[in-house]
Parts: sequence; C-alpha cells; structure tokens
Amino acid sequence: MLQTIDRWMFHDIAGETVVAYLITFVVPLVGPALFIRFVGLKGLRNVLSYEAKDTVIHKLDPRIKLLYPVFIGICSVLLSWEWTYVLFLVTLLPWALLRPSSDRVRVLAVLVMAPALLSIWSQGLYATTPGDKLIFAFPVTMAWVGTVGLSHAGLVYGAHQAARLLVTSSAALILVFTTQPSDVVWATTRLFTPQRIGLAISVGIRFLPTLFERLNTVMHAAEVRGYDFSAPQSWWKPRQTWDYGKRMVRALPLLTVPVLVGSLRACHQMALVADSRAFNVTKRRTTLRIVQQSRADRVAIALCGSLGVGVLVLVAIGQGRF
Amino acid sequence: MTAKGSGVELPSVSRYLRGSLPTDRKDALDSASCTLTANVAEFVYESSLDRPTLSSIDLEVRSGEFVVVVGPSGSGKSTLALVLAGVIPQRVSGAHFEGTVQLCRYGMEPINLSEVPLHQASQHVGVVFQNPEFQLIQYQVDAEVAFGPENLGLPRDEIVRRVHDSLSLAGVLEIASSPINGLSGGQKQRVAIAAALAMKPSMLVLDEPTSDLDPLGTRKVFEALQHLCHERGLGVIIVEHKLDEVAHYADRVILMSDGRVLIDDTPAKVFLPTSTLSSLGVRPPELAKLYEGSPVSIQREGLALSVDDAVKNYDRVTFRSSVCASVGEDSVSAIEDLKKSVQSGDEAVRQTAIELIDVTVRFKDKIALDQTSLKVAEGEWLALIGANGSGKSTAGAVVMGFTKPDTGSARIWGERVVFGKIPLQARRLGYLFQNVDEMLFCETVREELEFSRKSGVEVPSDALSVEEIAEFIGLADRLEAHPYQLSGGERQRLGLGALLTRSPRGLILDEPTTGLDEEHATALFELLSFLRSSARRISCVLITHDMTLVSRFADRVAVMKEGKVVVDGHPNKVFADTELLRSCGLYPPTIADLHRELVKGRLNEVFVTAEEFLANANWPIGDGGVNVTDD
Repeated sequence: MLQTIDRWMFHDIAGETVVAYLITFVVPLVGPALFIRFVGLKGLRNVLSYEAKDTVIHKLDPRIKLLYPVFIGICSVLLSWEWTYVLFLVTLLPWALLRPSSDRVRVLAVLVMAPALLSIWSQGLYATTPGDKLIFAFPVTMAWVGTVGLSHAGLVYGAHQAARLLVTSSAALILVFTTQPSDVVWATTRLFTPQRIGLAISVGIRFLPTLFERLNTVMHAAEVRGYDFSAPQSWWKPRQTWDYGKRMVRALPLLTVPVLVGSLRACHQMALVADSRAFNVTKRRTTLRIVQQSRADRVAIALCGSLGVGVLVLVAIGQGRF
Repeated sequence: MTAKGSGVELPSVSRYLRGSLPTDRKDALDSASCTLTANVAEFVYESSLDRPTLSSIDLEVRSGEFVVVVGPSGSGKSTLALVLAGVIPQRVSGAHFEGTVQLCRYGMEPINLSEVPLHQASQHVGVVFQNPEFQLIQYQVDAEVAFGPENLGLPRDEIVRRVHDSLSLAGVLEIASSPINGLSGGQKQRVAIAAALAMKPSMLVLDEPTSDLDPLGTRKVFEALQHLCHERGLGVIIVEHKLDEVAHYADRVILMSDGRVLIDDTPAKVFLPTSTLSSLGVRPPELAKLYEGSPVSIQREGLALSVDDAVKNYDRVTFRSSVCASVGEDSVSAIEDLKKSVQSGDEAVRQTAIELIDVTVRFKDKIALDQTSLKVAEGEWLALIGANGSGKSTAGAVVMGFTKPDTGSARIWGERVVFGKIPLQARRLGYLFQNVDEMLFCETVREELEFSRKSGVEVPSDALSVEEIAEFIGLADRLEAHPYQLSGGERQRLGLGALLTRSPRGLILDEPTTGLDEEHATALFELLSFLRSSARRISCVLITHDMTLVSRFADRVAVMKEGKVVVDGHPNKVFADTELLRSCGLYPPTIADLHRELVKGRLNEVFVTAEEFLANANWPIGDGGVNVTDD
C-alpha cells in the first residue's frame, strides 16, 4: 500500500503534479485561512488597539517603546540567523511580564507565525540556485510555476528571513499593545518626526478602527440589498466556487466607493479643523504632556544598552551576519 | 450707520439686541463690546456657477447674542456659517467671493476675517461642524483641546489653563483624560466645542452641532452654549433644524432662503405666522403652532417658546373631560387593535413579524442588550427610542443578523435569525442605514434600483418594477442622475426605494429623518404613510430620536435604557411619563410636556401634537377670548 502511494506520488507524473499543486497552492492558503479563522477583521481591529494593564512595560516612557522595535530590528540585521532566533527568545521576555489575555495570544501567534511560515514557503520554492538539493522536484507539468521544486537551501534561507520577521513583529507588537495611541503620537512628535507626519500618525491611529467599522457597515449594507459574501458550502463544486470568486471581485469597487467617499469627506473636514487650530503655523510647537523618566525607564535603557553591547561582541567574534 | 467708540468707528449695535435682552445682559454686553459684521454681496461655489449660494448678506452679531440660523436645505445656512468663521474664502475659495467679514472691538483695529489666515480667524471666531467624529483629531480629550494652543507654541502653563477653562465651560472637565473613541455623541460634540474655545474666540459658529445627538445630548450642548453666551459674553451663531429644542435659547433668529436673509428678527417675529416657515420647508416650533391656533386672550400673553413659559400662558386652559377620556378609553392603541384583529381571526395580523427573545449582547465590558424581549406584530409600526448607547441600534442589528447575541435569539416571521447570513434575513426584512451614503454603490439612480436584480439576487415575482419604484419615491425624472448629485432627502428616499425593490415584508429604519429639513422629512413621511396604508401591511421598526416621527407613525413605543426595554406602550401613554423618560435620557415632545404640566400629571395619556392639543382644549372665556373648539 505504502509502496503504491510512494510510487504514485513521487514517481508518476500525475501524482507528482497533484503533490506539486498542493505544495504551491495549499500552503499559501494556510496563512489567510488562519487569519480568517482566528483573527478576522474584528480581530485585526482589536490587535491594533491598546490593552490597559498595570505592568511595568505599560509605564515605560513611550519614547523608549517607540525606539525598541527599531533597535531590535537593527540587532536582527547584524546577527546571524541562529543568533536571531536567540534574540527572538529575548524579545519574548517582555511578553512574559505582560501576560496578555488568551485572545491576544491567539491573535498574536497568528499574526506573527503566518507571515513567517509564508516566508519560509516562498523562499523554499523560489530561492533556488542550480545544484540545490531538492526535497521535491516539480514535474514538467508544473513548469509554468517558474520553479524547479522545493529546495532545502531555499527553506533554510526562508528560515533566516522568518527569524527577522518574528523578532521585529514581537518587538513592534509590544509597542502597540502597551502604549496608548496618544502616547505613540506624543513620542513620535517628540522624537524626530516633522509635525505633518506626527499628525498623520495621530489621525491614522484614531481613525483606523473607524475605517474598519465603516467597511463592516458597507458590507452589511450590500448584504441587506441581497449581495452574498458567504463562502460556498461545497468548495469542490466548480460553479459555486467560480460564482463566489466573481462576487468577491465585483464587490471590490462596490465597497471601495462608499468607504473612499466617506473617508475623503472626513479628511476634508479634518484638514479644515486642523487649519483652524493653527496646525503647522509655528516650528516651535509646545506640548501639554510632560513625561518624567522613572527608574524603570533607566533600567530598560540599561538592558537595551547591554543587549546592544552583546550584539556588537557577537559581531566582533564572527557570529554576526557580516 | 456707525457708532463711535474709543476713536474707532464701529458698526451700529444690533437693532434687535437692545429691545430683546434683559438689562443686566445689556450692561454685560457694553463691557464685552465685540461685533461681527458680514457684508457679502455674492459667493458662488465652483460646482454651482449658475446661481450664487449667498447674495446680499448684511448681518451683525454682537458678543453675548445667541443667534439661530434656520432655513430649508440648500438655502445657504452652512455656507453662511463658513463665511462668518473665515473658512470662506480663505480655505474654500469658491468661484467668486465679494464682500468682507469684520470683527470689531472697542479700542482695536477691526480684523478682516475674509483676509487673514484661517488659524488667525479661528482665534476670533471658532467653528464647530456637524459631525463630531470628523473634527476630533487626537486620541484623548485633553490632548484634543490642547492641540490648538500647542500649535500656537503657547507656554505650557497657558496651555494647561486654557484646557482646564475650555473643558469647564463646555461641561466636560470630568472626562479630560478619557479616550475620545469611548465618548457618547453629545460628549464628543462638547469636546469639539471645548477645542474651539481653547483658541479663545469671541464668537462661536456652529453648523448643526446636534444632528446626531439624542435629546439629552442636544439639550446639554444647548445649555453649554447658553452658559457661554450669557455668562461669558461669547457670541453664538448656530445653524439648527431642531427648532422645538433650540427656540427658547435664541435671542434672535435669521431665516434664510435661496442664499439670502429673508427675516432677521426676534424669535416671535420669525416664527409667526408659521405659514412663512412652512412654505419654505422649515418645520415651525410646535409651541408657535399652538400659539397661532390659540384664542386672543392667550395670544395677548405673547409667544412662549419654552414649556415653563407656556404653562403660565395656558394655565387657565381646561380640556374637555370627554375628550380626555377618549384619549384614554376610545382611542384604541395599536396593541389593542392588534388584539382585536387577532380575536376577529385576521390571519395577517395575528402573526408575529419580528421577535427578540431574552437577548443579551456584550461588547467587552459593556452590556448593550440585557435579556431584552420584544415583539412586533405583522403590520405593526414600533418606535424604539432611547438615549445614545441605550441599545436601540444593537436590537436592530441582532434582528438583521449583523450582531450575534451572547444569549437568547431573534426570529423573523417565525424563523430563527442566523448571525452573518444577512442576505437570508434580507429576503423579508429591509434595513435603512442611518448614513444612507453607506448603502449606495452605483453610478446612477437606475442602477441603484436595479442593483439586486443585476447582482443575481432572487426578487419576488410581485415586486414593483424600477420605474414604479422611482415614481413612488419621487425620483422618476432623476433615473440617470448620480446618487451623489441628489440632495440628502432624495438619497434617503433612494435608499428606501432600493430596499423596496425586493418587496420586503418588514423594514428597520435607523434614524431616517436625521439631517432632513421639513420638506424632505415630509416627503419621507408621505412615503412612509403610503407604505403603512398599503395592502401589504409592512411591519416597521423605527429607531429614532425624532418625536414627530414617533407621534405620526408609531403604533407603539418601546423606550430603552441600558439595554433594557423599560416602557412599551402607545405614544400618548408613554409620553405622559415625563420622569421616566428623563431618567432614560429623553424628553417628551414639547406639547406632551406642556399638556402633562397643565394637568399636573393627573392623566396617563397626553397630546403629542399642537393639533391634538388645539382640538381638545376648552379655552377660558373672557378678556376677549373665545372658545374656539366648542362646537
């Protein structure tokens, strides 16, 4: 039995084609499927929101938290990929202090892991060079895909990239989960960015949830008028799947117009309001908010400094990427 | 004509102000001394070159004055507000602007707001727009109010002082550190007012600031404005449709039509005769209609625009006992009507159309619906009223399948509502969204009406054709127009027409009259009247703050508070319980409130319209009065 399966899958052109199709098309669907199943639009809206808690991470100076992902990102670029996975473990330490809710952990895991898996898969298929050892060679029927097959070297290279993705996501989500949007805006404007960028970030953070809500409402409005967004009961029936695809494609402009018109109107009015509140009339903008540095901030800076020194030492002893 | 003061020529003091304000306020104004003068010969938008949006405007507003601008849609009210705030022509230049807007203070050079940059103009005349959602930029309340002063580069101490003062004046100091996303509509609008005040203006211009607010939120905004006006000497110019609510705050009313000021006078002179307002498509205050129908002995007391004042004028009025009784006994409520129909075996009426059964919905820590049960019978029209956030829209969302209940269930025509399967529910039930623009997708009116058919949606065989629907909603001659070229009222009717293409057995209308003037509201009312009397016996749930809509169409009113239905009955009965309504963040219609005050709460039913009141009043005889209702 096993021999028959093995012969059919790996030594028969029909079987090889089926397996190649599965590798090429099923794996990239895993990411979106996980996203839809465990996150969804509402989940995405929630993940982009601040979660109030009384932890030391929440109390840190927002400027430190804003610089943290940048710092970790630079470290990940300097280190070799094995050490980058070690760095990923280091970035999990603040999460241990946070103890996020199970809902957040689920969303976080999908948001971090799905792109990492996709990265490994895509590099496995396409980061190939002549002479690579292939785990699975695609038959001639799959030549149109543009790759010779799934390569070992490509998967390893994908794992390198995934490591950097994991590290940066983990550090950036700490900022998003533990910092009030108003603090992010404040930190952005106090650090290095011009006022216009600060305002753009502020408006973005304030209106992202509203945009999702509006999209949700417009989808409901289309459904009320009979438009069906629900997936077909039987995926294997080509007619149903084709109709579903057609409906989805047709829906794009339908949904875009009301959302876009509403957003443009909102932007126009906000621009009027910003102008009437003297936005950008002085280069020396003052601020209501004053943040005093605490002991926790100094400890955080010291830890980051130590990490930086550690990374430099590793680079110096040849464990870096360069 | 000009007046002299401290060596600076000033425009004359408003000719209305001296006669209409109490002495103490006149004294306060003499020291406040600030005048906004608008002389606009013409303003033309680029999109409507064929006719000017404003022409021959000659206005004067002084600090301490509360001025209400009224008029039908398209009369130029909002444009006037933008001109007074300096937004036009500095920020919205249009095709042609000819005129000046000046702010004059004693001892200072006049400031030409038409020529200074907007950020300078806003330090003299603040502006607040209709939708608070789109004028709050920051995430937190105090950061929002501080935004303007921070941009001006003021010292931190001054920013702190301004933020504190502005929030106090607007009555929202207690929410200074709250995130804006969690505020109610009324709170957001008052934060927007505080943010405008932080620029330290002498005048405040507001363009329909209460259109999305519930009655309580509306009243709080008006009270905050009155406080600013009367206690702080700020000039307030407010464009407003809700005349019943705003009338008694006004020192002066400006009636606009076709871009011109038609009347600029005291409220009594603008509101009477009411035919002037009605002929222009503006809904007159109910108390003005009542006054107009009252005998001379009552009219001699003058027009009262608040219930407190009206009680004094009408305290000698009695009501025919037979008539009062008739309201309680003979006037059969819809529920009773339905019960009778059931008893008489009317199958169409017997069926429950829409039903919520012990539904609970939680959003994070907030309970939106708390074991709510509600029934709407076939052919019945139910009004769901309550403060913002009381659970009205959530109830509608559960019925339509937008929101999944945590516990309980919903049924329509006996079938369980399936969460997420909205097209399934939409075969029987239509849902008109509050913002109708969110449900218009196509490039022409015709395509909108053909949308369902062309999207492959099953349409009943007895459904009306596109042309019939277009005729019905009064858009037969606009079939090729783009939906966004229609007025707000026409778009509202188009949205309704789009739902009717599928011949629904029921409708949920979410705030259908928000932002509509009298003319468009009347057109919508006529449409609803026709639907109501049609042979199909459409059931309807009206989610609304519009008490006129409720009094005209609802068989039954359900009042919601904190996710629960606290009262459910005939409008005349529900509006009699003023204390309960107030505890739910609502106010009864003005006439209902007046009637209840006059009968000292002895009746369990009240009149809700001026017509009902007039038809049932026994007027005092004597002093030249006549009993106008005695047959």
